[in-house]
Amino acid sequence: MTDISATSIPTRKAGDAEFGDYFRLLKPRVMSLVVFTAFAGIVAAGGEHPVVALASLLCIAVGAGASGALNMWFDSDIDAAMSRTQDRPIPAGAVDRGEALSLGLGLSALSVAMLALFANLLAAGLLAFTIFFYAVIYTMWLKRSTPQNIVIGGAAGAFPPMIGWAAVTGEVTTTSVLLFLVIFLWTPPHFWALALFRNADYARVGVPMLPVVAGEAATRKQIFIYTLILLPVAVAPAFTSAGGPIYLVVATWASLRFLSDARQVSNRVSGPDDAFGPEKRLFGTSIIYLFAVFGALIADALLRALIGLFGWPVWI
Amino acid sequence: MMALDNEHDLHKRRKGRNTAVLALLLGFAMLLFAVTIVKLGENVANPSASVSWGESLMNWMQGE
Repeated sequence: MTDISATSIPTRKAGDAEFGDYFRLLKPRVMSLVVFTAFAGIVAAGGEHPVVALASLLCIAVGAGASGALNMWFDSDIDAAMSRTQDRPIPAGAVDRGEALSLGLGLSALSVAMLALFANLLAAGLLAFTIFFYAVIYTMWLKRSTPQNIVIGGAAGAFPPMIGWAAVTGEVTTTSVLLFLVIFLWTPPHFWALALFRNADYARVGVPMLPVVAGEAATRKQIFIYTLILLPVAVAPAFTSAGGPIYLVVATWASLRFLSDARQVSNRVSGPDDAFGPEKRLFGTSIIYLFAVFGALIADALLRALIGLFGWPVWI
Repeated sequence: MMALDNEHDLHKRRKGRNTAVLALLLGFAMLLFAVTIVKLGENVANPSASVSWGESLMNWMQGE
């Protein structure tokens, strides 16, 4: 008779994962940003039947989660060495690398196929390209080879509103390209603010983030330049068919606030034992910024549906 | 040594995981059903879809 004792049972951190561990593989916090911006894209495009919109949104969320799982599968070695990421399911020992790869590939295929059925082939194709771009172009290639990693890789995070827009309209338009550009230009200052106060982590694992390769001064300057370019691009959607007065006010105010925080960061030189207060504030502001701008887009869509926006200038 | 019983942490984890997978599968099935109903509704509203099956058959035989 086999003697099974509790001491021979694998502990929680030895491969027998809980459901929550698999969910954490999908990077739920990143997923929330993706869901919100994709939802804004769907609503701004004129809406869709609520059931089809929900189904499309779930596909986009699952696709984003799948690319997160593939990212964690590939990056498990450096995740284990960085304080910010060492509690992730793979380095923590809760999920095997093979399981993460299978989950990532399976959910990628499922989300793309379902979006093709629920919405259209263009939206599904954009989702497939986004997953490929994030998992292969960014994670496997750019991240460890160039300080421009998050500039180019940021495109992956910028696609969700365009996918949401395509799911409703079946096309890529100037408006959806502008929404793409807002997130694309927002990504570098967002991540470089993080990289400034996590510099030691990135340097230790050899990821060539801009502060590691070009130094703090160059990074601070780049943060300000990108935030400055972002301002007119973020305001521009106000004058498209998706924009309106709420968007104009919120995008202008939020962009100026973002620029002001970026200015403070760009004027600083960190000292020994620096707490990086302005950098952390800029990182926080950047997150609120994205929610505010895309929230305003949703608010204008509701306003348009309720009372109409008669005479609002549509120049783009 | 402690004996392995039904209340062991291992069983609780697996039970929780299986319950969550069941809930996801049921949710997915309901979503497919709901989307199917909505898509069918679109076709019902489309006049070209309201042709009787006999007319459809004739059209098909005539190569239209």
